Amino acid sequence: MSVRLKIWIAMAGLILWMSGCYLVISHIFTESQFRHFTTEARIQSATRWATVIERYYEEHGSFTGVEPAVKNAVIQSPYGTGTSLEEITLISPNGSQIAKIALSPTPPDPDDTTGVPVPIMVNGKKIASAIVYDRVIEGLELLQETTLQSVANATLVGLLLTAVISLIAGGWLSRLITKPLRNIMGGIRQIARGDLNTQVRVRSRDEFSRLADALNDMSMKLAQAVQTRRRLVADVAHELRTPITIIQGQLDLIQDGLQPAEPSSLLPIQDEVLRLRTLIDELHQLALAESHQLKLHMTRMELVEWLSQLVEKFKPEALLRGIDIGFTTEVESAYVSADSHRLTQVFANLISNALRYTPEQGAIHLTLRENPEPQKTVAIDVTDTGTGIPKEQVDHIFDRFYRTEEARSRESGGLGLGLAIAKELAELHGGKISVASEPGRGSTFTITLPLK
Amino acid sequence: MPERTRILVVDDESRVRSMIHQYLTAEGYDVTTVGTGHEALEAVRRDDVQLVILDWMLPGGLNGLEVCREIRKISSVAVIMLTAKTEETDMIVGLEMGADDYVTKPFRMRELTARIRTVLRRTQQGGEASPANVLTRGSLVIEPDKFTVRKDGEDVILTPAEFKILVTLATRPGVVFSRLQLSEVALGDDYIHYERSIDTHISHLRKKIESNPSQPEYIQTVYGIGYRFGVPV
Ligand SMILES: Nc1ncnc2c1ncn2[C@@H]1O[C@H](COP(=O)(O)OP(=O)(O)OP(=O)(O)O)[C@@H](O)[C@H]1O
Ligand SMILES: [Mg+2]
Repeated sequence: MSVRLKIWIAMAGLILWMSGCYLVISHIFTESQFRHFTTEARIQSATRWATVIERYYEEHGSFTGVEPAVKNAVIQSPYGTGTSLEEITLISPNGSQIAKIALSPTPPDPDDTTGVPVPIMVNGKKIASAIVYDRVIEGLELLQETTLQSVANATLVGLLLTAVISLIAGGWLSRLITKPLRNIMGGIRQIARGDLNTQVRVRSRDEFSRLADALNDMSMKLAQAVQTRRRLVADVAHELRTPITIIQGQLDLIQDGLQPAEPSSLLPIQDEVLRLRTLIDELHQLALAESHQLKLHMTRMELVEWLSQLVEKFKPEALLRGIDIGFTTEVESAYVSADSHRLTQVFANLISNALRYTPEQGAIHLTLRENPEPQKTVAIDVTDTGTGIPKEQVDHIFDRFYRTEEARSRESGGLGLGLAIAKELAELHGGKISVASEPGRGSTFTITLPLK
Repeated sequence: MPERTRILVVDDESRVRSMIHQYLTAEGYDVTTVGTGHEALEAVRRDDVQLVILDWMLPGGLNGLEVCREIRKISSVAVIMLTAKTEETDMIVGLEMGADDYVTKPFRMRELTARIRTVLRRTQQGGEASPANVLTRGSLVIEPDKFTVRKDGEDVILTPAEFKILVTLATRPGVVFSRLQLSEVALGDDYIHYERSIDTHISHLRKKIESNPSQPEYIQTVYGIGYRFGVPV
């Protein structure tokens, strides 16, 4: 059953229930009002005629001749002959009938219980009791019945009317309430069909709009993830092309007998296979880091000592390339919590980049210093006097597979994964990596790490 | 002795450059390689180049398409574009820019050399017929461009797949080709996983060109490896 139908049924049910209650309550109430009123009227009538009889007794000292006197009084009363008074029976205290004053040709039914007994009191003494039958009461009963009937009728008509109106209104209202829900459903279906750019629009500011916002957010993230995956696949396919072309070309040469299968002609193949292996390893690592599945074995490390040792390890290579490499520190010691193996990877990457993009006679320098912002962090600069990075390309160098045009046309180009991995690793350590570069003069890569 | 054909290779990847260089040199061409568009234009102006192999994606502000357009302004040299993109539109644009042909990366050197031969034949009309034009193997005469095979002077009717297999094998007598390689050639990448079906093509081919199909002299099986074109004695 749809929510819309449920809401509609609930509303209709409520209205019907309320109307029913109203009908019953009004019936009971009207009836009791009437009963009360009837009793009151009977008592009033009886009391009035009892007073007449009492006055007669006081005047005459006995009940003899009370019948014509009362009849006279009735005729002279404002009601006159049109009186509804039927009969008054006078009964002595011992139970015997004293008089029966019949005022209507038809005497009341012997079973009639509507007669109201009233005591006849003279000088504070009860001398007899009168049972008064008044027909006005019957008229009242008729009135009661018709009134109750018309109240019931009115309620029923009202009920029908409200039912019709409420059902229509309920239908409309439930439609209104569930409209955002239908929009959202439509959006979800669209997403399921693969249209990930779906954005659901819900105008109200309620739970539904929050649901829609969440859905929009989800579809956006989904679209991004799909986009990332597509780009990655395209990037990898592109990266595979060159090695495969070279390997195939080299193999064709050998197979076609244009070149003997000696180590020198196999070397390019070896190189390309190695590149493919590196590509796979680095991609795997990047994927692990990006999905936060890389396990870090954090230990407390002292950076001053650690960095000077690291720089030491790169000295031979720097010497070979005719590049000066050095390290200075502005702090006495700096403790961080880090995975030393991963941190080595980060710096090894920055330093090997610097070595790669710095010409002979250049210099690479690492500086460890306090970092003003954010507090409790330390910064390490890796500065080189190399080619630098053109402004419009700076934003992209941390993207995977991105290499500057300058780097792409070089002999010993990398894969463009190093900085992407370094960035992920730095972030896994709670740190950041940034770059400032001046084309032609050099670059400074800065890593910040939280102090422990 | 006729002058050797000079080919200019323009690619930003030095490894690709050196590989193409090696292959084309081995094929008997004179090869010059450069890494940028500007160098390419210089080389076209300076040297007597008969064909340019031009990478689509070039660094340094001048991409392959622009280089091609510039070359056309100064020379009518043949141009083959290397492109990583396989979209039809890109190729059409490339051809409109004056390229004579295109090869998509990753490309096979064999395919590239075949295209080079075709383009050169087309652009060097009137020149001496390339020896690759007719393959004479024993009693077989194969003309790859005309799609004809004659055995003892009589036409043999081959299917396209059989023809491609025959040409591939006959171009390099004695060289063993794997089933996978042959199915790539004959059936294309899409059928590369149906390498066994190559056996069927081979047996049909043998029936058509061998005098005794059960003891083939041309298309020989190299047990466990593949097939090769036997050199008849
Ligand atoms: N110190 C630097 N000076 C100038 N350019 C740099 C420097 N470091 C990085 N770059 C540029 O940023 C690009 C990306 O660097 P990254 O380390 O990610 O890739 P790579 O070094 O080319 O390859 P890989 O590290 O995967 O072997 C480089 O190709 C280069 O263009
Ligand atoms: Mg690197």
